[in-house]
Amino acid sequence: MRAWDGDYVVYNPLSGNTHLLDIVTGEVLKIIAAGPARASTLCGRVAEFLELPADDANLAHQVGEILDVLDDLGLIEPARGC
Amino acid sequence: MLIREISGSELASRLQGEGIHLVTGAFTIHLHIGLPHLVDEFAAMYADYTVEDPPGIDDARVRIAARSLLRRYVCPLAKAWANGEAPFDPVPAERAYALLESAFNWVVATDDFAPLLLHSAVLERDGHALLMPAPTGSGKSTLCAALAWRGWRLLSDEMTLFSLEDGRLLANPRPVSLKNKSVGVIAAFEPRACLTRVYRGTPKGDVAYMRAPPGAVARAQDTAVPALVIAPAYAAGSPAILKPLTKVEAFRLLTDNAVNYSSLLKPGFDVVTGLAENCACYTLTYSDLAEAIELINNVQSKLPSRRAA
Repeated sequence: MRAWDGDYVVYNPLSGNTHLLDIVTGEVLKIIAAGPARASTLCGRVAEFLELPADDANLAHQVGEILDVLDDLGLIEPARGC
Repeated sequence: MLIREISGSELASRLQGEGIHLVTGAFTIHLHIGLPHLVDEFAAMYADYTVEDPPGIDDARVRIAARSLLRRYVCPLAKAWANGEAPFDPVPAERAYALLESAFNWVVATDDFAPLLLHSAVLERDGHALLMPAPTGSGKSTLCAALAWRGWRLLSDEMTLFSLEDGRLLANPRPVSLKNKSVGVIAAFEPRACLTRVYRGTPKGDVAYMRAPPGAVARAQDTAVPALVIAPAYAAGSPAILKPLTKVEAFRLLTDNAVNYSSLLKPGFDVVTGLAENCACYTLTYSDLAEAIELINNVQSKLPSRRAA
């Protein structure tokens, strides 16, 4: 995984594909790569990264969409209990 | 032993008999030629190349011959076999040399044990390797041929070979393919350039080949460190303009031109990301060769100095 100029280039060892991710999606992946995280924790970290209020109305929805994208790409999977 | 040290009759006899083991830098090809006129054209373009004798391990096999015995005499057609396959349609025998070069490209591009292959010209100057990834018709070969006579060592006109072990570039210097107007452009640009006749009506139009400069062939075993990536695009009437690429743009450019990127998996990713991070990357729009070369030399001269490989 490489962070370049506001974009992330990621190699997926499961599919052999390479993905170009925007900065927020890349940041979410980076957080999850460091260890499993609950959606609420992710939202807090992303809000901090984007300098938004933690209770921003759209943030949870947007993070949910990002998680779906990363799941579809096979880069993450839901962990039991999260 | 060099091709030019072998007498014409002996070379013809060997090419039509047991074949020769031709060393083209990183690739050794077991070559048979069954067409007498092609032996002469081949010998003229490959005079400075080494024939391995006794033979070692070949990387590929290429055979060019008449399509059938009857076809040797009636509207003769040439056919190519490469590693036992026949990947090309037969062509009129007078275009057999172009078929031979296509077969050489094919065996490099389809080699199972190949390092990362990039559809790119590559040259080296002062230890800095310049990669020029670009599709056909972009002016890559014309610029490559011109640079090869202006202080840059030709490693390859068509295919860049990266060693996955150390990230260095392997050389495979062979005749440079020039299409249509480029033939006259290079003939006028450099009087020392030795060109074949023009092969008309190939799938790429009218094609001629420029013999690789002798210095490039003599150093065909020398690898080089990638330092500069420039994607050229010929645009009639345009001044020469270099535009820097972001790392992401460079990565996409390189993967778009990497023939076997997806089959190399993680090592391929590591090599291409390394190139994007460690090379100065640009696009170059140009119409005048001298202007383009001046810009390229200028950016190369500003790179951190590096001992030649």
